[in-house]
Amino acid sequence: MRQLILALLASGTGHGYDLKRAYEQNYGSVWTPVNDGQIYVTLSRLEKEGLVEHERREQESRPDRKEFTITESGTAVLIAWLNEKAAPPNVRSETMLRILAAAASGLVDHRSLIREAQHEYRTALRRVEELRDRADDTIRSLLVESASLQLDADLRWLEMADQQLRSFVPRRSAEKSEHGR
Amino acid sequence: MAANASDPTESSITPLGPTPLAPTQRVSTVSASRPPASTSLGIVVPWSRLHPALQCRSLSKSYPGAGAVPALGGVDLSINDGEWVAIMGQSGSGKSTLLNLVAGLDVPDSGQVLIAGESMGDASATRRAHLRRTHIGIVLQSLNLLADLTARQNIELPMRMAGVRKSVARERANDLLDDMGLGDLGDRLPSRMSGGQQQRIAIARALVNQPALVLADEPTGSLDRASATAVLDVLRRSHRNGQTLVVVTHDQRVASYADRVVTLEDGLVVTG
Repeated sequence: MRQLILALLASGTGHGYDLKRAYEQNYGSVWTPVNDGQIYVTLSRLEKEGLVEHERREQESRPDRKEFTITESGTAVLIAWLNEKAAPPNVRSETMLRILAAAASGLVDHRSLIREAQHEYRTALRRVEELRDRADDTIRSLLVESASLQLDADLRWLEMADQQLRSFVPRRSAEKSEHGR
Repeated sequence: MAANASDPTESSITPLGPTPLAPTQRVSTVSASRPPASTSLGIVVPWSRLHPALQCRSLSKSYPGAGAVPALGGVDLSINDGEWVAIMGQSGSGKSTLLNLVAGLDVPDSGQVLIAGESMGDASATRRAHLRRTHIGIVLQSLNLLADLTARQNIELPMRMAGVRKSVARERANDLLDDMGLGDLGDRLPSRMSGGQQQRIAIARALVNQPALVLADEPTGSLDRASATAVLDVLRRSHRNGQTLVVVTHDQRVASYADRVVTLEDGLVVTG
């Protein structure tokens, strides 16, 4: 989140509320849920480290507001982050592992886990798709597309798992029933 | 006609208490045994809200030579007015058979299809044809746009058949073309349009009379992502307009917008 806030400030100054709104519009609550507190806490930490600074702006009939700006060292930190070698793609999903472990062990009905996951992922996909309506530039559209395609792939996998595990019998209980004969 | 006008041919069942209606909502309680009311704009209003928009009762269908497994093995399904239902399932699970039976394009071996409470099996062929024309909008995988007509004429056709004046039909077709981002293609023949463009024209044609029930078979199948998004937007709009949508789909984005996902497996409903 630190880097994302620095990135937002790199394209202009803003105060806490603006930043929260921009954060939500750009990254949406689907990626990383954020509350007011988190934004302010992150800003004050960044300020302590000298990466951002603020100027007090007087407002008529309202309390003063703090306009934040990225500092030179903040920009340097951001550039360093942008140039960092990204972590290798993470393809492990806990949902997927749980479904497969349920199927393999036969301890929990894996098909009901699949149904639950399908429902959850579809709800998430719908929320992402609704962000598309407000994605008014290429950067935002591409962010939406990234999340949408990932969820789409997960949902396709869930469908595939549902079909292929329809009549799956865990090896252990298959062996047991053979011995029982 | 007032929404609560009493009518001697009206069903004897009355809703519990008055239904609050938004002033812009065009709702009538015309009984299912009469044709739906049509406004001067050619908008066909929803029928009775006393019945589910669509009901399937123990719907079965087998095809000769297809082995012991029936295409549909007794499907019960009730879909409410204004509901968006996605029908999913592997190929061969019975999705398209179900849609064809509901659309009246095929006849079940047993069981019933009721559209707004009216049994299709009991209706005469003329009545069924009338219902299909006025009450149901169908988008099939084979686009069946008329090859000799331009995009605009294809969209105008169902309106002209429903008795809408030529000038009104023209205006509405142009509006729809604009809505779909195809405003420049009105004079083109289907053969000179891309698959995605043809699909959007087919959907515009299915929706133009504002049918209460929209049936679609893979409306985004084989489309590129941008065209699929445009089609999805059109479906969302018609859902917002209160139309009932039954969409057979593999597309997870379409399913994510549905109020309910019905999954078929070997001709039976397993979820939903």
